[in-house]
Amino acid sequence: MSFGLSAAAYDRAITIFSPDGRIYQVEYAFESVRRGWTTLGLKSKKAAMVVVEKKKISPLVDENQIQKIFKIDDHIGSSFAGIASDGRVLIEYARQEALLHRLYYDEPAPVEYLVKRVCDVKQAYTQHAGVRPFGVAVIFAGVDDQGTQLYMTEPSGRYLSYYAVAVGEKANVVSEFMEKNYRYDMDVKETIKLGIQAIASVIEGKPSSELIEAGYVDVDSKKFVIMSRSEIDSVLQELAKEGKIKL
Amino acid sequence: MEAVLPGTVIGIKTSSGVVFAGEKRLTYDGFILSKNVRKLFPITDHVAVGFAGLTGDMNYLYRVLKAEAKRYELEHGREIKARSLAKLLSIILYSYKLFPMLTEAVVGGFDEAPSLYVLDPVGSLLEERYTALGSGSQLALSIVEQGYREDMPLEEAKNLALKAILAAIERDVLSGDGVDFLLITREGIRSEEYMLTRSSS
Repeated sequence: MSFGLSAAAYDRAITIFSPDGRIYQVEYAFESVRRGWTTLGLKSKKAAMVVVEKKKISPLVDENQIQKIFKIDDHIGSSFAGIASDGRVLIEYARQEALLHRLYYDEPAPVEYLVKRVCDVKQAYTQHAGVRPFGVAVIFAGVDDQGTQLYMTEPSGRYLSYYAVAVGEKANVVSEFMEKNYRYDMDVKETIKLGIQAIASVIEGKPSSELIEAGYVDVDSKKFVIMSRSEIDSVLQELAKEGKIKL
Repeated sequence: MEAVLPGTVIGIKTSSGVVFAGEKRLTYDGFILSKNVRKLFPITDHVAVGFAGLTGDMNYLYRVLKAEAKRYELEHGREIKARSLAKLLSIILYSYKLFPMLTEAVVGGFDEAPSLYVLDPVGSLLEERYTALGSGSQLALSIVEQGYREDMPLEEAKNLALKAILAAIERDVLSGDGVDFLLITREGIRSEEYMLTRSSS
């Protein structure tokens, strides 16, 4: 342990507080998120979306089959940064909760309801013995009867509603970009373009649809769609034509 | 043959709201145990449920639905819609499939629009414009069917429901003693209660 004597014993079990009220294992879980692939969520009046940067892992990995954007239900999509297997499990759980809501009430689950269910699980894993916290931040983007919704859930189980939120490696750069360029009254097209531009601008080298995945839901259709390679390519082309990115 | 569930309850949906009507008799093997039973229950400010069948079962279901509706409101920050409550009741009823609740239920409300649903003892869920439940249902339904118009004012629908309940009371031994109403509009639920005999309070 690289701490001084006073801190050394407080990360052996996650259920133990340090004297200054911190739970080290939960804070380490945030570190997994910080090292994750850059993931952005944003919402405008008309649409909510998630965009991620996909990284080259190895030439032998079939990257076309790596999925980073997930449909939770017709009206909600999500993505995450951090430990992929932890993320996958929470996505599965969210899907199940969304289906159960439809089963019980014959109506789509509100986005916050789903976020709360996922965060209940995350919270439990910061308190129970013999477990470790989830090393992921999951972003949920959706549309419900309150309009567009965007939430980011932390490993601690805390969640907040955002206009735009970025997690992962280059979260700071993307957040700065969003602070400068974000408007709430964007239309669907503008929202998609801004999201893809933000992620494209942090990609090392040439941005391409191979390295970007995106999904969006608009208030009119209320259907979350994962964008195809060619759709992302044409957005990149447009952005390049406008001089916003270099291809 | 299917068991006949004692009592008569009516639901009518019009373009301006929903009317529930029910009589007030509780029978036990040919004996009138009570002349003043409620078979119609408001669940939220805009959704109500009505039952024909065993009083114990309907009171139990009412308590469960009331609690579930409260929980829904706390979790979702708004009242549960009639459609959702009906679906939930359908699942509850189906869970007792092997030893069913002896009730038929009608769920109605005014959320975005007036809505009316009917459920059988094991939870099959149907959307209807008007319906009648219980041992007096055939007598009552024939009256409702003749007088029903979708655009009828709520007051007229209430009078039609009254006529139908009185027809059931007249010829069905398991129904009688008084009439309850729930009138559901965008503004909320209004409840009215009438006794038929002097000794029935």
